Amino acid sequence: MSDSAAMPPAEDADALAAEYALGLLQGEELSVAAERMRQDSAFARAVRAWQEWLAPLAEALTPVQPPASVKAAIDRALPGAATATAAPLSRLRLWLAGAVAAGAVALAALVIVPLVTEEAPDQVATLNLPADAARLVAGVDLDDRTIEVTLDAGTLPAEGDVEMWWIAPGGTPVSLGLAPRSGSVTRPLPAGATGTEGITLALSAEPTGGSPNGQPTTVLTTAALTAL
Amino acid sequence: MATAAHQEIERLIGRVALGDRAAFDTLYERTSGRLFAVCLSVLKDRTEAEDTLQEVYLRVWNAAGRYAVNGLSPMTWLITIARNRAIDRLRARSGAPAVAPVEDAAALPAPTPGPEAATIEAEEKGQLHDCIAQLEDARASAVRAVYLEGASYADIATAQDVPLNTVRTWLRRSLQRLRDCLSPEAA
Repeated sequence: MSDSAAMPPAEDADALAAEYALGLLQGEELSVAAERMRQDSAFARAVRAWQEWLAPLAEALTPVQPPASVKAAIDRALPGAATATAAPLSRLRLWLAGAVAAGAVALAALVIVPLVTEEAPDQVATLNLPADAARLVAGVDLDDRTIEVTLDAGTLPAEGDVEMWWIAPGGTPVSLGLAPRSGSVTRPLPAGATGTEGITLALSAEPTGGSPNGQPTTVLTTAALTAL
Repeated sequence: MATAAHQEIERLIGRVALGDRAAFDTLYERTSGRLFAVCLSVLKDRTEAEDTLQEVYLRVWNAAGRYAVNGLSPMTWLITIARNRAIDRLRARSGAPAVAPVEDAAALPAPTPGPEAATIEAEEKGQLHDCIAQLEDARASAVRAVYLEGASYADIATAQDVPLNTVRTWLRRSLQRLRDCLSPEAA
């Protein structure tokens, strides 16, 4: 909201809690509310009360049966997924395995690429979260227009969620969804993505469930996509 | 939600937290229709809603262990995850049409419950609907659009042709009236 200065002051904590629960806050007001959510238990309670009060609106929607393909995709993505169905090994994982076998660390992969070109993603980035000793590796497949992200080491913070972002030069961050707490996730590239030149990936700390307004709350780290 | 159903969903989430795939399958069976309706209501695009639903259940699988500490009822927890994921995706979308493509219209959930659903809802969910019904029509529909379709202040300002800060003032007032109606002792 460009003219937030013209907004009435947020004196009423409960109205603010309602706006936060509804995803109506943006920018500075959102970061302040997200921080307050973590530190002010009365505020967090008020947000949860609004979530409870309003949920009947969603429960009153007529349920719509999702296609079976959705559940099948979920099953493939879960750890230890029914091995009998032989979920294909993820391309990024194969590529990582190749890199390890070649005795190379993830980003020094340039030299080993000729050995594993068929499995290699087109662009990669490594995102480190030093506080949690966690490392996420992202690989972009330009043919499929997908990005695959693997939790390669460590564990994500137990509090809240970590969200992944795609940032084009001069553009606003576009969510790639929540970072995986284990294994890999594959997401389509953002609809507007025209290429990978100058793209930065970022991780942000978010309240549970992800950013309430579609923009990063607290950026934890960023990394540029690098061509192979 | 009836207490028995509430407890059953809670029990399933508890099993999922322990990595029980059968419980996860049952939870999906019981709840995916409702959560898919939430995703469709916000996104109005089947492919995006399917993608989001997938993300929602992977999130449920990974976060089930932390469900007990958040203090939300089980359906509210699931709905909140679905709604937040869908709104994230909605806000990230740029220049996409704001209305559902015609071919998807039949599959979209009704924005308000049908007559039979309304009868059932009236018993347990009546309070919220009664309280919303006490608002002026334009305000009630704004509250619904914000919750069910992820409308922003800017969307409502455009739809109702009112300045942005005016929208915020009266939506906040409407929310306060709702709260007073829902929880008089907190007022």
